[in-house]
Amino acid sequence: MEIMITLQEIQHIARLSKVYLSPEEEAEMAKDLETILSYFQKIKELPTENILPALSPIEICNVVREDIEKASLPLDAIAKNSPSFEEGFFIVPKVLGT
Amino acid sequence: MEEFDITIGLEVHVQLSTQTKLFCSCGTRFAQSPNSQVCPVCLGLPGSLPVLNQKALELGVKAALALNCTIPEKTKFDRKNYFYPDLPKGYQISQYDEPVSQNGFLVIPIQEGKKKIGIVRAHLEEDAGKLIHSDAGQAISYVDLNRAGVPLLEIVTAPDIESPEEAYCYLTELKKILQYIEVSDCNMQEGSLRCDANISLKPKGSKTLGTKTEIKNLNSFNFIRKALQYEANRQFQCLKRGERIEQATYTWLEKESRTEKMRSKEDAHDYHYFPEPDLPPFSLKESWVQGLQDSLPELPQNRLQRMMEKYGLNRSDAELVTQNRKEADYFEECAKNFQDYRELMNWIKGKVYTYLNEKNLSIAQFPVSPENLSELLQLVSNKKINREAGKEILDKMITSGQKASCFIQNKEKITDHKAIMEFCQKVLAQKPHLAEEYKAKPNVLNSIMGSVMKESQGRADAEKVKEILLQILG
Repeated sequence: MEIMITLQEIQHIARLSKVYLSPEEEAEMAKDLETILSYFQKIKELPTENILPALSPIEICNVVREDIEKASLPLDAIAKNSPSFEEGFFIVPKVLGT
Repeated sequence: MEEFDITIGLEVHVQLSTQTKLFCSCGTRFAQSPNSQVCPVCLGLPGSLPVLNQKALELGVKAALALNCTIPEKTKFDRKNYFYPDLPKGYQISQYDEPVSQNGFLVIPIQEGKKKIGIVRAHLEEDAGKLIHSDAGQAISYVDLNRAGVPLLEIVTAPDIESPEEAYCYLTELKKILQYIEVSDCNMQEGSLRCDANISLKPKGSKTLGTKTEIKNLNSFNFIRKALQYEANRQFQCLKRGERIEQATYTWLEKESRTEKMRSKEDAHDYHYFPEPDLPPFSLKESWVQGLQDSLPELPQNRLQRMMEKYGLNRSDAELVTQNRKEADYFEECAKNFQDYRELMNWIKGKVYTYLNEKNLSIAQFPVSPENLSELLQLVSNKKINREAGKEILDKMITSGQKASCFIQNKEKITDHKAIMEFCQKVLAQKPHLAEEYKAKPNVLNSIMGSVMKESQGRADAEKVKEILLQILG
């Protein structure tokens, strides 16, 4: 099988996803992604020269709603879904910059 | 600096004036208690689906039309992926390769006349939430998602802007247009208008652009101009020392009047755009676009030109009064009933604007209607009351909101010869020394006149007073 993803790419994607991978996990991840990408490699074999890219499997368009306000969620319902919620705010580890 | 050309491009985000968010029915009001305007869609909860706000699409297209953009037959949304706690879904719904408009321009006034600034695109996207970083030494940040999902229009210029001054001019003009067509209030304090700028230098006449840097965190048009001036000079100093410009993002530190590097290109985002599968594409019918085009009001530059011609206003007065659509409307409403336009302009500049500035109000909050102001001005121009009395009455109209006719009693101008003669004689009897002084110094006439006017409570016809005084004093 040809190599479709490099270690550098794995590290780049990990950084964009803000996940830390140990060298073992990186190798593991490369293997998994390699499998996924090979499916696409297979699909790529299909002749698609004269076919327009499909955005959606269903042919609907122009689904809009009117600009009318509806009730938002009550605070306790929001708090329930958050591991850390104080005085109306979600609490996250301090983030600054990128 | 003479040996270099400056190239500037601007990216402006304006908040569209809708009641609800771009993809859900939560409200968009500013300064609400945290997370009081959120729902499963804008919180990015699993299973929720976005539905486009029709009004946001309309406003976006309207703005694009006012900026002379081409509206395609079809538009779609894309996901822009990045991780940050202000973005609950892990992606922002934006537009990538089929934006709602492209290829427009805006004409700005410059010293040598006019200049066309190209607009590459204007596209719809949702805003992110707000982060507040704890300063109490705790390693936490607070997340408020009220703003997440609020509709924005991102307007991107071509690299046509050649000086910080032109950038300032472009922004002023853009804001004026967007306010005129009522697609955004463009309130920078509330974040309804935000701007990022990029800037590069190239040797004079060179066709290839130099390496650019981006400046963020620009909170006023003034800061933008200052930041661009600073950055142009910083780049110039670098190039002069033979250094290379590093492609990076800077932030403007207003207190220190300098830019500071936030991140370099290596850390640049890689957004992995792809079509938003939860939103079907949109076809924009020609008749619908035409309807929006027809609904556009007269744009500020056309209005300025027309008002100069129609009312004989000079450029600076016309600019002042067309600064804002409601103010131009006010002037024109008054002008329907009062045709001495120069006089009208003087009253608006003198009394109306002074009052609005003092109280920090907008014309919509001015208590005197155009009908009532023009009625008062007619009374003055028909010499029913004199100017001073007119000003006093206007003050009363402002405090009470009533018509001029309510205050005119005991304010009518006194033109009767006998009555004025009595005022004059009374003053001269009280202050006989004035008549003496007048013989040596004819200037004293003014102070005598002042006393007579005072005696008549400002109602005597000033010309008549002068005439009679000259008679008496011989």
